[in-house]
This record gives sequence, structure tokens and C-alpha cells, in this order.
Amino acid sequence: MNPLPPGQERHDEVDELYRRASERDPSRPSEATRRAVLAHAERLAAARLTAPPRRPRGARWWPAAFGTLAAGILAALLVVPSQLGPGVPPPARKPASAGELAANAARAPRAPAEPAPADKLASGPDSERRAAGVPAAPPRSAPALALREAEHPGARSRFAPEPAAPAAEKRAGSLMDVTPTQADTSSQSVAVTGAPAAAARAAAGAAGRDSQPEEAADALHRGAAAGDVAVLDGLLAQPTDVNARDAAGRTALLVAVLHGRGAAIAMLLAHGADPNAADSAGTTPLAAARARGDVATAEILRRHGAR
Amino acid sequence: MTDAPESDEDLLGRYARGEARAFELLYRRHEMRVWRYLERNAGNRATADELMQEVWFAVARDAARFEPGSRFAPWLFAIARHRMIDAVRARRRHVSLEEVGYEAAPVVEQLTTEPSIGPLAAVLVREQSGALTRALGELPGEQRDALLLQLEGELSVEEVAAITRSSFETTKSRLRYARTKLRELLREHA
Repeated sequence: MNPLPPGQERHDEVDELYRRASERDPSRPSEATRRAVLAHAERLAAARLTAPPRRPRGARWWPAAFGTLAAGILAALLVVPSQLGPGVPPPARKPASAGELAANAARAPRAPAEPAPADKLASGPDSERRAAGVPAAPPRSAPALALREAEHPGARSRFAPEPAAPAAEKRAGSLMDVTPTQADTSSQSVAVTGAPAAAARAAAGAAGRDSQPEEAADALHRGAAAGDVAVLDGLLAQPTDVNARDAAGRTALLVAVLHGRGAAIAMLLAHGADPNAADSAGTTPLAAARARGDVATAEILRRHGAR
Repeated sequence: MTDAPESDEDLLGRYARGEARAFELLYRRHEMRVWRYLERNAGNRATADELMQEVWFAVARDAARFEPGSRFAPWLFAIARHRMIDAVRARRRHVSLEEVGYEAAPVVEQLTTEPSIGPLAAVLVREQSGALTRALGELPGEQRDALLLQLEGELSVEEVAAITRSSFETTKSRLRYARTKLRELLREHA
């Protein structure tokens, strides 16, 4: 630890009382937070090691100027011969008239000044798909209904799977069958997800790296349900849609809230998870937190703009 | 004769150059100090946990921007304080630390449910830590903040003044009042 700077008022009785009470205070940050912080730092350190060394600020203009000059020379070498035409000795050629120059220009192969229409079309839907990945805000009436029902003891029935999505019924049911006590125990959460933690982490990493977006989304939901921040950190380091939905329309954030996974909730929100994304039944993360009586999570969600 | 431990600033520099182990050493060295500062100011464990993550994420991200020649602790606690104020602002509009409600109950509840200590020790811990929590909760927000910065960050009056953007004299008087009041409160509970 660094020595105290000069001029500080040294320990008195209060310092001593404070220190003694602090030593006996068993309060600690959660293990999940510690893991998330260290995993994040490790990932950034690895990225720094692989990144090319940064150039000094003053010299930044030089590569750009050199590149521009080289591109200009290259363009001149390519364009000038095509303007001159083959087999005509340059010294014997008379100065060209304006009409001849125009004709030459018309004969010369035209460099594509802008992308072909096919390129434009290819890039268009991609960006639209990305935009479509961000879920629209739920209709106001749905969360309002969910909140009203959440205040009553039978509110959990609100989270029952949609009849319209039979394939999702079993999975959605398994998420909500977990009581808060169960959800807080990592070994039991492994049982919920149906895979040992290490295997889940490996599968999630693989899903994030080189598989279909659906698999990455599935891994994200499983990581959120298990509260496995290491898995989430790995997945979110890849280009993953943090607001991807499962068959019941749930985002990973909603799943994490349903399981009371504080660190996972914080991580998903930090990566831009939509705090207002409701599932197919209209249940928002805030409504789910209230239904669980999870005041702290509700507060965190509100801070991130949940309504 | 043993070697002096590596300074915080050197560790941060090593981390900025890509040594993850240096960050871990730095984190473990300051983990509890930052945690107590956040938890005792926020009075809420869930919020403190979230802020803890945000603070250390910011340290990892901005390590390369740390100004050579300056001290690490004031930089770290300035980040922690900014995050906490952002959290408070998000919770309520135009709020100063003076207006932050102090939620002592959850901390005391955690102490009573701590599984690793026996029942008698738990009673003692609850009394002492509960007394400290209550005493801190009774301090005005700005005094509590200044005192926690000094006690947990081991910062000088000048550094606390710079972080809280207050004058030296104001900070000094806040700290004096905070210490006097805390001494009285802790004696009452002792």
C-alpha cells in the first residue's frame, strides 16, 4: 500500500474504532462480481497484448499522407496509359483537341465510382436485420397489466408459457419453476440448465465464436439463467445480440431477473440489454423483479430506464 | 530484509501493458476498501455490487490513460465516487449526497445471516458493525462521503477536497464534524 501523503490527519480514536468495526464486518462483494471483474480485465489485457503498438501522436499524419500520395501515383499510372491509347508513340502525337479527348474518355474503361446496385442491396438488409434485432418497446398496456397482476399473490401465473408457443412451454416452465432459493444456489442452477458449468461455459464459448446466432442466443439465455458471468462475458465479447429472444420471447435479461442473478443482470445491462423488453406474455424485467419481491433488482432496472 | 511491495502505480502500468496478473494484485489490494466505500455510502448491497463492477471495469478500460506521476488511490476513489453519484442521480433527479437515503437495514440483515460465524460471535459482530452502520447513516451525506474517502482511500484532506470539488477549508471542517459526531455515536453504541 502506498504511504500516507504528508499533511494527512493521522489516526485518532475514530479511525481506530472504524477500523476495528470494519475488520469484523463480514460484508463482501459477491464472488460473481469478483469473477466478472477479473475475467473482464483479463480479456482487455489479452486484447492489449495482441493489438499493434500505438504510434506517437505527432507522427500520425505521416502514414496517411504517404498512403494518399502512393494511391495518387498508382491511380495516375493506371489512368494515364488508358487515356493515351496503345501503339501511339507519345512524342509523335499532336496535341489532342477537346473533341478527341472527349472521345478517348468515352472509350476508356470506367472505374466504378460507387458500389453496384447489387452491393447496395446486399448491405441494406444486413443493417436492417441488425436494427430489427433491437426489440421494439412493448405496448404500454401489457406491462401495466403485468404490474397489476404482479401485485397479487397469483401473479406468477402471469409468467406461464404462451399457449401459442407449445414448443417453448416446457423450457419456459422450467425457468419459472425455480424458486428464488433454488436460483441462488449455483449447483442447483446447473441442474436447471441441464449441463455442468464447465461444459456450459465451453459450449457457450463455442456458440459465441463460430455458430449460428440462435445457438449464441441460446447459450446467452442459459448463461443468464445460471448466473454464469464468465460465460456471459465470453459471449458478449463476441458480436452477439444481447436482446435476442428465446421461444417465449424472453431476453437474457428477463431470464436473469427471473432467476435473481444480480451480477448477470448488471453485466447484461452494461452491455446494452433493453430493460423494457417484454416477453410474449407482456412481462417486462421490472414486472418480473417486482413479482419476485426483488426490490434491489427493480431499483437497478429503473436506474437503467425500465418503466 | 524484504523487498517493498510493488506500488499501485507500477501495477497499473504493468496492466496497461497487458499483464492481467498485475490487475488482479491491484484488485485484491483495494477490493475491500472500494467495497466498503460504496456499500457504506449507498447503504445497499445490491447497488454496491453493481457499482463495484462498474468501477473496476472503468479502471481496466482506462488504465492506459492514467497520468504518470499521479497517485492511484485518488484516481480510483474519484471513479468510485463518480459512479456512485451517477447511480444516485439516476435514482432521483437533482440529488446531492446530502439527500441520499441511507438504507442501513439490509446491511444489518446480511450480518445476521452470515453463515461462517457462530451465534455468539454473530451477536457481537452485529452489534459492532450495526453500530457503525447506524452511526454512518446518521451522518450528513457529504460528511459521510468525505470521511469514507479519507478512511478507506487513505486520502489527504487536499485529495478529498479535489475529488469532492470543495475548498480545503470546507473539506477540513466536514471531516472534523464527521469525526466528532462518529466518535460520539460509536461511544454511545460501544
